[in-house]
Amino acid sequence: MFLREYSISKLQGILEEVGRLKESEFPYQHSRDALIRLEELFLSHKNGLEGLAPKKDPAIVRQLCSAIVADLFKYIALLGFVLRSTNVRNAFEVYGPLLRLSRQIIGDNTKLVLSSEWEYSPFTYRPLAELPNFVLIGSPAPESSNPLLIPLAGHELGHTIWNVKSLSAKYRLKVDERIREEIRNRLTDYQKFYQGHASKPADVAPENIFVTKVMALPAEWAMKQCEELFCDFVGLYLFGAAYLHAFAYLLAPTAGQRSPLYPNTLTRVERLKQAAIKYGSEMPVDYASLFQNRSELPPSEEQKKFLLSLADVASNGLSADLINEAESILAAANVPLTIPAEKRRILERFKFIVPAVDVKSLSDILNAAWDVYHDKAFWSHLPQIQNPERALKELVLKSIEVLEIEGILQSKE
Amino acid sequence: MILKANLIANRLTSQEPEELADPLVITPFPNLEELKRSGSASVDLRLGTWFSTLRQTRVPVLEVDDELTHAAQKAGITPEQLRIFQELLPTSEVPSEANLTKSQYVPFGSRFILHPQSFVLGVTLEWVRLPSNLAGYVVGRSSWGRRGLIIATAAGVHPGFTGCLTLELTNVGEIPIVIKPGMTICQLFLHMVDSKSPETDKSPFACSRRPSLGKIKLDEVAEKLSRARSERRS
Repeated sequence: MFLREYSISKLQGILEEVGRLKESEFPYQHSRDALIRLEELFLSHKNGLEGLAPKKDPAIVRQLCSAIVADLFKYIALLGFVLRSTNVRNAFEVYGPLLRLSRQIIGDNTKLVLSSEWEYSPFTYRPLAELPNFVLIGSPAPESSNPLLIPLAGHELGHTIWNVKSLSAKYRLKVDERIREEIRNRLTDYQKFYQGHASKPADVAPENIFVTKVMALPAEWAMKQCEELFCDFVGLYLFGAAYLHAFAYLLAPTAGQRSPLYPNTLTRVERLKQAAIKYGSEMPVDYASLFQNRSELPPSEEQKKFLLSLADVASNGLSADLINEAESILAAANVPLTIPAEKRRILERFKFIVPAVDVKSLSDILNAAWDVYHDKAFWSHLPQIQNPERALKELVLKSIEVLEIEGILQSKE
Repeated sequence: MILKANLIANRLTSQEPEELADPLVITPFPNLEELKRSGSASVDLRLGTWFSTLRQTRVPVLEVDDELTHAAQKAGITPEQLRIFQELLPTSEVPSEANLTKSQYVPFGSRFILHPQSFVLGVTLEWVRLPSNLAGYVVGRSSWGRRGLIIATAAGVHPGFTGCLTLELTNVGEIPIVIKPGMTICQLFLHMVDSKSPETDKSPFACSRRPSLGKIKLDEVAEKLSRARSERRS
C-alpha cells in the first residue's frame, strides 16, 4: 500500500512550495507568520507519517492520510491568498489602520492578512484551527486597490467578531425557538410536507425529535443569515454611510439565484435601514431603489421554500437583537464613529486636492471620499484634473497613510 | 526670490484670505519649529513607501517614440486602442508603463537597498501642493550625495502641482546604500513666481502618491524632424 508514500510526497511538495512562498516580498510580517504556521502543520504531519512503524495498522495509516488530504484541501487556497497579499495591486496603506481597528475590537494579539481574491465579493476565511487569531480579508482582485471599498472589510471583520464572541452559541437557541414558533403558527403548512410529526401546536416542542430534525437545516440557514446581518451591522457601525455606498457599489442591483445563507437583498437593505436609524447613520436617498431581490427558488422546490421561509422569519425576527449586539460590542471597544463635522473638514482639504490631516478615524476619510465620488461637480473648478476618480483614490490612500503616520508619531512607544 | 525656511513655515500656516484660497500645502506637515529655526532656504522632504524599478529583463530598449505611433495616428487608432495593443504585444517597441516598470511597496520600518549603478524611482512621503505664485526645485541633500546617492535630476516643480514628487534615485558610489521610508532624502526650494497668470501646472504627474514615469511626447518640431529623416531614407 502506497498511501503513506503518496502522502509524504504530497507533504514534501507543499512544504517546498511554502518554502518558496516564504521568500516573497511580504510588506507585512503577518502574511509570513501565517505561512510559518502552515509550514509547522505540514511538517508535523510529515514527521508523524515518517515516524510510523513500517508495520503499523493500515487502518491507522489510512486515517492519518485522510486527515492530511483534508488539510491539504483546506489550506492550499489559503497559500494562494497569502501570496496575493504581496501583490502591489493591494491598498497597502490601509493595513495599519485596519489592523489597529481589528485589535481594538478583537484583541491585541490579532494578526491581519489583507489580500485579493478572484471572486467578485469581499471574502474572509472562516475561523481556521491553525490560524486562530488571524483575520484574513480579501477584496475582489480588480477592486483591491480601490479605497472606496474599504468599508466592506468591516463586514468581513464582523465574521471574526462573530466567532471570537461565540455569538453562534448565543443565537442558536433564539433561532431554534423562533423557528419552532413559526412552525406552530403555520402548522398546516408544516403538516403538508411532514405528516405525523405534530398534530397540534403544543407538539412542536424541543423534545420532539422529528420536528427538531426537520428544523436543523433552516436553523443552520438562519444562523448564517444572522451572522451576515450582524456583519452588515458591524460594517455600518464602523463606517456609516460609506459602508452602504460600498455595499451598493459592489452588489447592486444583484444577480442570480438567492443563497439560503443570506437574507434576500431587499430584506438585507431594509435591515440596514433599520440599523442606520438606530446608529444615527446617514441613509442615502432612494437607497433601496438600487437593489432588486435575487430570484427565489423555483416552484418545484416547495419544501425547500417552506424551510427557507422559516429561516427568513427567524433571522428577520432577530435583526433588532443583532443591531444591538453589534452596537454594544463596538461601543465597548470604543471604536471611533463617523463625525459629520470631521467629514466636512476633510472635504475642505479634498477641495484643494490635498490629503486630510489630524483625522479622527478611517471612517471620516471614507465618508468624505464617497461624497466626492457622488458629486461630479466637486472638482469642476479644476479642469486640469484629467481623471477625477483616479485622483480621488490617490488622495484617499494618501490620507489614510497620513492617518497612520500621525498615529505612529503620537504613540508612546 | 527664494523663500527662506521661516517664510515657508509662515506660508504653510498663513490665514491670509488670498493664501487660504490658494494655499501652499505640505502633508504630512513638517516640524514648523525646526523649520523656522533651521535658517535654511528650503524644506526637507522624506522618502515615501513606493518605489518603481525598470524591468531590465523584459524591455530590450527604452525608446520613447517609434514608427508604430505614427502609423497608428495615420490609421486613426486612438491612444487607448494603441495602449491595449502594446499591452497585448509585449514585444512592442514602446511598452506601456506597467510593462516597463515594477512597483514595490516598502512599509515603514523596512528598507530598500540601492546597489551601485542602479536606478530606482522613489517618491516623497509628503504630498505637496504649490499655489499659483510659487514654483520649486527638488534638490538632493549633500550628505546623501557625498555617499553616492544622487537624487532628482528632473527637479522643477511648477505652480499648481499637487501630488507626491517622483524622485530619481541613483547610486553612483561603489557600495550599496540602504534607504528607508520616512528618512529625509531631499530638499525643496521654493521660489516666488512673478506672474499674474492664473494658469497652473497641467502635468500628468499630478495627483499621484506613487512614482510615475510619465509620458514623453514629441512636439510638432521633433515629429517633423523625425519624419523628414525617415522620408529621406525611403
